[in-house]
Amino acid sequence: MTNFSIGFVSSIVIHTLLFLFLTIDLTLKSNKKENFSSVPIKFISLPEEIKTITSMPQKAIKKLEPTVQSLLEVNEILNKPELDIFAQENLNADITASNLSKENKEVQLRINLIQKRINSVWKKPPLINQDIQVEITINLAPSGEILSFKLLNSSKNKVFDDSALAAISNISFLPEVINLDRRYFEKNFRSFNLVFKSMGN
Amino acid sequence: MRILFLFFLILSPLSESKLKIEITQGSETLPKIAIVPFQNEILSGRETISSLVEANMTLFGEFNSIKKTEMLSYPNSEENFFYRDWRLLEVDYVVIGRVDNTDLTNLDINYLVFDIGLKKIILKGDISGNLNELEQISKIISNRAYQSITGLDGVFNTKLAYILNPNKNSYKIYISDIDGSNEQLLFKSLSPLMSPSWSADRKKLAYVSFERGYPEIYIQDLLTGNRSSIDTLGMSNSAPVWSPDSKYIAFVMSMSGNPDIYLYNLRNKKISRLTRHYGIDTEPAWSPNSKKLLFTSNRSGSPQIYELIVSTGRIKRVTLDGDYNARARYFPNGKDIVLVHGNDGVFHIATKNLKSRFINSISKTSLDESPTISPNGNIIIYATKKKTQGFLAGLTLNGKSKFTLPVQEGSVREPAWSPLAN
Repeated sequence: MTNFSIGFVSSIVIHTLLFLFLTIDLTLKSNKKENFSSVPIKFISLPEEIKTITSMPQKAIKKLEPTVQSLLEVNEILNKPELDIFAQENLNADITASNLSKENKEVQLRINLIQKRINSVWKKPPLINQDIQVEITINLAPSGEILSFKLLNSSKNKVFDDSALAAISNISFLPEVINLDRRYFEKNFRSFNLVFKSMGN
Repeated sequence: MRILFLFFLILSPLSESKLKIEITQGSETLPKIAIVPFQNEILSGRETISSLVEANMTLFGEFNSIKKTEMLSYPNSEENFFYRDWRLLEVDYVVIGRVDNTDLTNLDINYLVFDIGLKKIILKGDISGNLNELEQISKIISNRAYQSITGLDGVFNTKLAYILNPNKNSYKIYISDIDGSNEQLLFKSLSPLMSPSWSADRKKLAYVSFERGYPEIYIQDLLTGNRSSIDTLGMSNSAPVWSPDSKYIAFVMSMSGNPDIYLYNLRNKKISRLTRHYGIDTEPAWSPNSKKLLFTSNRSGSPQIYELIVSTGRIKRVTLDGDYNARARYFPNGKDIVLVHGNDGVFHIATKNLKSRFINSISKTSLDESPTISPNGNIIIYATKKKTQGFLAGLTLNGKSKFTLPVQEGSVREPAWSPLAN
């Protein structure tokens, strides 16, 4: 009888936990869905580059590696049982680093794609060894639509300024940012500056 | 989550460094231009203004043009011009116009240039003239359109002087329009002719002739055809170059077998010496302000470019890299030069800023090709050879386009680009 009652109680506890776990998980999932559905994704299809480029050099990870190694070395030298604690710390560090690097990675990818797109439409006017630049502020919607842009710092060469402005008004959309995490978008691409340079690569 | 977004929104303007994306390369494709047929432009069987303007604008490969059959409409005024028609065709600039007065002796032509990217008119112009001036009118329209688009002077009504050497005992100096048309023979000789140089007013040409058995410098008036030689003491004179202020001709003279740079004063006809060195000093070229000269000298052991201040005689070496640097010319800005740059037997037409050490190669070339720069500084023309046939080739400074210009029979040499018409 005692065994039965213990089994009954424990099954109730397990079921309750399972129920709680599932509902929490579901709410989490539904929350996420809500967030994403609030981003108006338009009819524009993403360029293939986004799918194909998967590995990017990550400074954050590279920086972390030597610390892990050195910690392991220290442990080997001391040969202490606290090794597990260090390992746990390393794991935590790894998680935060990958969060950071995820943002870097996502943002850097968009920067590269935006550079590529604007380079492809910018008809640079002829200039002879003139080192000038023009800076333009762009306000972007999460849909990739260019809401507005304005000249921030003129190159003092009207034709050069005009060529950059014409390039931006010829685009009107930067679909590269569409599937970017909203937080990263707000932080980096809601308003950013484009610097058109006459020289250098 | 919404609160978090709000937080980011508030935070973002406060954050010090806004994301900056650098754009440096630009597109590889050329700007696309559409020259719409002008209204009433068909005038007694002549070539139309729009086709003449189109030929000019695409002459040096700086623009791609779209065919008239590809155009969605033929607007002839601001009222019936729709930007979206042209954006669909990915056109960057459109030229439209109309001939208002069709009296053949008094044509009145209005034209507009649109920037499709900026959605605005960048040039409104009008010009009048008679039917026989149609070619010249088209060149002026082209110049103004080019200037409004690139910010550089249009060079479509400039001229070219060059030397033709059809066979061993025949030398001719020709002048033509920059597109190779309207060739005019200036002088022909059985002996070599060399180094044509324009006066700033485009009315005279200086050149070297061997007609008396040794090299002498002649000045020829283009209107009258009158020619006279410069009286000098030396037996070997070469490489005359007219100063932009029309006061002097710089040239090379050998007094005792050693070439140096001299100055010929066109007013008092006196000669003064500028360089004194046992090395060879040659190929002088004036700065746009007529105060400095570039020249080639082998005083260091290999041909290198030097700059000389005419008033003080101070000399500064300009090129430091490479075992061959010669035929330097100033750009119109006076701060950059173009030269033939060689290293280990490979020669390039190259540019260089006078203040920096770096030499920027733009095109492979062979040793005997002498470049001449357009007066707007954007185009370089040089004489070159394919098998035995010589022709004029050119390139734009950004290296995006190369082109060839048609010339008459025989081997063409030493092109000299005229200054702009005033």
